Parts: sequence; C-alpha cells; structure tokens
Amino acid sequence: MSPLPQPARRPHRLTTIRRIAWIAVGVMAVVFAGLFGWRTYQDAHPPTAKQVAKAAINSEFELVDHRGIPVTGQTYRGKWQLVFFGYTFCPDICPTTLNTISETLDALGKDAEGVAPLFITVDPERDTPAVLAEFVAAFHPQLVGLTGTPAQIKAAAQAFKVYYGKAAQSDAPDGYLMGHSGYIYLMTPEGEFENIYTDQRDTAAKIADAIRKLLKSRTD
Amino acid sequence: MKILSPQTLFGSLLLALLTVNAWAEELNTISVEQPWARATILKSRPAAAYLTLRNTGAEADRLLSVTSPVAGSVVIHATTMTEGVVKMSPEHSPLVEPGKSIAFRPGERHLMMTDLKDALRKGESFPLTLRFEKAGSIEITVPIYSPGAQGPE
Repeated sequence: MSPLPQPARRPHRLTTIRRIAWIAVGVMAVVFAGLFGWRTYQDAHPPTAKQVAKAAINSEFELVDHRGIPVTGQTYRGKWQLVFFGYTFCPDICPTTLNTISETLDALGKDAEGVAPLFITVDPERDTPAVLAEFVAAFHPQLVGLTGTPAQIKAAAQAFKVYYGKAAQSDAPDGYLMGHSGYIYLMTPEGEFENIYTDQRDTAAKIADAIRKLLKSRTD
Repeated sequence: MKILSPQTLFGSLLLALLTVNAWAEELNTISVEQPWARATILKSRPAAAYLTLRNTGAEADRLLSVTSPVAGSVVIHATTMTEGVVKMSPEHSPLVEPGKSIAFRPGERHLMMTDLKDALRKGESFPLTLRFEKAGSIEITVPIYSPGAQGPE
C-alpha cells in the first residue's frame, strides 16, 4: 500500500520542527538576554556630556593669526585654550564675551602664561588679519585673532561644532548680521575638549578658578 | 509806535522760555538714566550704547526712534541666546509701562550705532536724541567708556 511510509515519516518531521522551534527559542533567549544586559550596562554607564563632547570636539584648524602668520591647532598645543567664535561687526555680545576672557586672564595673573585665548571670526570676508589686529589689541595683549578663507573658517567651526550663519538685515552694515554659537570653549593642552562656558551663566572668576585647578592638577 | 522796550521784550521772552521749560519738565514723563557707550576700535565697526528708560508718568509710552549726529543710523537691538546661538534682532518701539523701567544692558537690549562719522573714543561723549510716542524728543549726552566696558564706570 502506498500510504504506508507516511506514519513512519511523520514523527521524524515533527522532531525537525521541534528542534527548529527550540533553536529559535534559544536564539531569542540569547538575543533578549543580550539586549537586556546591554541596556542594563548602558543605564549604569551612560556616556557623560563631556565624553560625548570629547569625542566630537577637538582643536583642529588651519588659519591665519592677526599678525598674518599661518597657524594650526598644533601651534597652541601645550597651553590651555580659551576659544570663542564671533565677529568684529558685533558690538554687543562679542565685546562682552571678549571682556570676560580678558578678565579671566587678568584674574589668572602669572598663570595666564599657560593659556592661549583665541578669537576666531565667523565673518572672514570682513575680518582680515589687519582688522583683527586692532580689534584684539583693544581687549587684551594676549588675545589672538584668527581668520582664514571661508572654507578654513567652516572647517574650524566644524572641529568645534560651532554654528554660524548670515542673517539678512537691511539696516545692518553690508545688509547682514551673523548669528553664532556663544560658547567659550576650554580646551586641554592636547587640544581636547575640557568644558564650555557662556557669558550668561559664568563669570570670569569662575572660569579662572577652573583653569587654575586644572593647571595645578597637571603640575602635581 | 514803540510798544515794547528792549528790556520788556527780553523779560517777556525769558518768562515765556521759563514757562515752556516748566511745561516741558512736567510733560517729560520719561527719564533717561545712566547712558553710556563702548568705545569702538574701528570707525567702520558698529558701536553699542546702553541706558535705562524710566516712565514716571501715568500712561505707557513707546521709544519710537533714536538718532545721533555721530552715527548714520541707530537701531534698537535685542541680543538673544537660543540653543547656544547668539544673535541680534531689531526691536520695534519697545514699550515702557507707567511706573516701570526698561534697561539696555550688555548681552541684552542695546542701541546699535552704525555708519559712524568717526570712531567713538574712550573719555569723550556724544549727543543722542530719543523720540517717544508721548514724551516727545529727549536729548541726552552719552559718555564713552572702554571697548569692553560692562556698565557705567
């Protein structure tokens, strides 16, 4: 009779299906356990804002300083860097922030030798080295003004994750104003991210205090 | 035909002037306090001036415009920081409520002065005229402090 082989095969097929089902269950258990474990680990060790910033931000650029000398991020290695992006047609917030940086340097006294204060323009078409030379000198003898080609400025802004953009305004000089990130970056002597400050939140005394502690931690 | 002697004429004029002055004083419901400006580094770069407007009258008033012979244009600006980005934008006719004052301060509201006839030098001063909807025009003298000054020194 022809249907005879059927019952013989049936238990075999069942075991195959069972085996596959059990393997699937096993795989799913491992996957879920893994996911659960990973999430538990992540919950216990979420990356700090500083770790995220350290991975994303670094002091890398190729620019020209206010004396017309080409510089890179390497030029300022070995010093803690205070970096601020702005422009000289900015009469309110930029002088305010540069004043905070100048006061920080004054508060540091002799320790200011270990700091490189960098003002990077976001308006390279108008902020030439000659313009920057007059501008930075009005704030602090140590302050460095940096400019470059629009492409170089864009690359520098990307290295610091700085936003900047033109905003058309009819009664502004040349018909535009710039919007830009208002952070003061504190970078390590290796050019890595250490902290950010803003004028709205932080005083020169606070920034100077933080730098002094960092300088001390390196010499101890 | 001599109706008025020079003395009488002078006296009347003086009296009239004093009366007008007294009226003006009474009408001046806005006081402009502690004006100051930052010195500019270059003539081509805009200046910023700061002050406080106090409304001592019973009605709200608006600052319509500001002019100065030392600048081609004076714009009422507000600096804002949103998600870490700072920018300036014009503020049209800010309101001064009765009994209240509004302050122009670094990093906030300021007068942006462009097209300067000359750079603003520390230690000097310049005239500034503020025109209000109700209080009319008020002329003040603005002292110039250092380029990074944070307030009246």
